[in-house]
Amino acid sequence: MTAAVLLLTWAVLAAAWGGRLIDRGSWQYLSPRNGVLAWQAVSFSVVLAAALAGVVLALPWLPLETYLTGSLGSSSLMVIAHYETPLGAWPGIVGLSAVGVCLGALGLSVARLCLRDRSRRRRQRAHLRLVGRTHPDGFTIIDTDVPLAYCLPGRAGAVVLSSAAVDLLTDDERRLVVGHEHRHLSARHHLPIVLAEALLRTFPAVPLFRLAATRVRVLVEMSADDSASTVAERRDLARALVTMGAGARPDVALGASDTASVQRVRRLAASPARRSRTGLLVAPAIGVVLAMPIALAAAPGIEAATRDCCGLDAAAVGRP
Amino acid sequence: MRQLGQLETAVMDRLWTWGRPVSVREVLEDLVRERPLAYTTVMTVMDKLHSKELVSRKKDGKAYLYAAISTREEHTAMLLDEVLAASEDRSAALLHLLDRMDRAEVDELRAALLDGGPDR
Repeated sequence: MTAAVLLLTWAVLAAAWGGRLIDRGSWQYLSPRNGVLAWQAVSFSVVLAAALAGVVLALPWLPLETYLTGSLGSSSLMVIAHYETPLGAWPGIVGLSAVGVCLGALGLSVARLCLRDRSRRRRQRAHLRLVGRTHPDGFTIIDTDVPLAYCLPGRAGAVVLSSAAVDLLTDDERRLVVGHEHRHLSARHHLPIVLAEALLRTFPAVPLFRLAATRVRVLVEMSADDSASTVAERRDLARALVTMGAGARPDVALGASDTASVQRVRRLAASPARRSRTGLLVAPAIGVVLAMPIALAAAPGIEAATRDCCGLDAAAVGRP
Repeated sequence: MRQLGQLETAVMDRLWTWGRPVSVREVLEDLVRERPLAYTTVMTVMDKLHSKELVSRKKDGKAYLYAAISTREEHTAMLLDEVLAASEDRSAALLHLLDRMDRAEVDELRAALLDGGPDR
């Protein structure tokens, strides 16, 4: 019972304030890759904690006894007894069912998004094969007066530039834009986006997931921007972004006007790609965030195991 | 399979360039200048394009005449619509370079970049 309460508390706290904690300071924009990992870690920690809360509620009623006593000895029965609730089996049944429904919905959402994206990409590829031309620099050109650059992730990944984009950009700028898109493909940036989007769609009321879906999108773009490494390259890429942003026709604009693009240009113009010092702290912090639900779930068990062992020992010693 | 795909592109290219209904024989005669092909191969490709609703066909005497249903430009427009749709529903089907920028923002950023100095 205690474990379930602790786990739910952790899940609620992380879901409510985890996002704001990551948003403090600007380290995530200095090392966007670590930023993406941080958002994923906190999101996963919330899901894991909530799922484990259901499992520990049900633990005393699951048919584990013979298995555990066989492998761990009879004291494990006492350990399990520490997970019992005063309300009988009902919290366990309700908890496990809720977890099952939530995880099922999440899985369904991921599957639906993946299927939709796959059919989108297939249609794109079919069109591209008909109207696209292959450029010697390893990308596909389509003839249109809309400046466009994008990539189709997946096994048959492709980078696409419109003829308008090729006309607007200098050779150096074009090379950097293509490099940006290739970084998306090699780093599989579509996966964190799909995961964050699936979490948001399944649990739209959770502030953490709302923030994560927005931030992850910006961070993967910045991460791809970092394929331009020298000061000169970064200024060139910044210029390319502004040129493309300026050339976009309002009637075919992609998405709403977004401050993230401006943020990216400023970031590229301001500094060379550098490692943030906080980067060193990210790995241990992520470790703690992920270990927390497991530690909370195991806490009563560990406490019981140590106390029961000591109790048995004391009794044995006390006997004449 | 991949070769068939390339052939489909080559055939559509010709239909778009000619812009009139043509027979399999005509397409074949143009294609064999680049590579040796069998009549049946080209016929299969045309048939496939027809089942994909990319070309229309009508009977002319013994043979069928084929014509592209949409122009190349219309196909490009469809492709752009797909790009737009994917961007609107926040899908990860494709990752595009950037979202729209405000005109005033663009001018300000451009000025900052042209200065050459740090922009803050």
